[in-house]
Amino acid sequence: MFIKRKKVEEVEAQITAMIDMTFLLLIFFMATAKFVLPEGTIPAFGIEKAEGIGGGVSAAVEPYEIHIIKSEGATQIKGKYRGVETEATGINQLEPIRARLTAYLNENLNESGAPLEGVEVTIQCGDDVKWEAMVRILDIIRETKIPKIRFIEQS
Amino acid sequence: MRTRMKKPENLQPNMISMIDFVMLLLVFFMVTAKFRGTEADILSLAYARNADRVEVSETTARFVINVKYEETGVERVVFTVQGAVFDPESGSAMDKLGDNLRAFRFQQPKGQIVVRVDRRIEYRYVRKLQTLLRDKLGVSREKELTISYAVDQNPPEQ
Repeated sequence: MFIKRKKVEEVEAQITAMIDMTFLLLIFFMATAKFVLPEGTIPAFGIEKAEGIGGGVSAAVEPYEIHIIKSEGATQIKGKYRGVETEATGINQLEPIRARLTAYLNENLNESGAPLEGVEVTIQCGDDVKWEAMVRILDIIRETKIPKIRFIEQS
Repeated sequence: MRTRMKKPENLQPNMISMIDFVMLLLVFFMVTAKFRGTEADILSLAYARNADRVEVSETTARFVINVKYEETGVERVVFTVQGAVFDPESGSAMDKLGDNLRAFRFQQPKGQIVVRVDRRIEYRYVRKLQTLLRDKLGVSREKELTISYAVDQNPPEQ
């Protein structure tokens, strides 16, 4: 017996709609994408009691001291090294401190250009100073490539 | 004279390579999209240009402490660790946080302690945390501990 076979229907995927959708999605992602840098970190040693400064370890170099206080609503930053004081008023006026920190590091390099033992910055900060101001100082210290940062409790 | 006409060529664009390319772009955007983990509470971190970059693939164990305003509308500062809230004014809460820190240091001696502080918060709270770290972990000048302070590396929008 002869059986008549049905003609095989041609099945064709409708890719036009899919491409439309894909393009729409792509344009959406491209238009809304925002490339952000991940969080960074600034390493520093833990806090130390004020009476502990200079004790225990014999350092070849004095640390550079930074004091941050809030006075009449403004943040004041004082740097001190070998009795020479540098002052900055406001966290946007830190250039004198940065210049002194750079000079401090340059004065205390060994023959191969590495910082001498004891090269560090100690920070004493008032309780009412905003953390943002502290981070600005930490940023400046990192910029000058001073390797160690240490917090000191206010005496 | 009779000229032979060429058969019209099939002028359909080659969709396959285009789809390949579009898919590649789509996969790129999907792979580079980042989702925040539970440890990273959304905080307004202070901006710093000269920070160390934290590599995403880093496998070092991290103990992340957030110092932030409590999300209750009241301006109260709290410390949070993986969703657990610690009141800095409560002695028992600070003891508990200290115990957690000690346990972490015992299990992960080379683990990193990361402190994430909201930029608007006063230093007194950070000092409290720094003192807790010093007292509970027995850190001294001879036995130093490095703490990593998290910062935002994206300049603030003007």
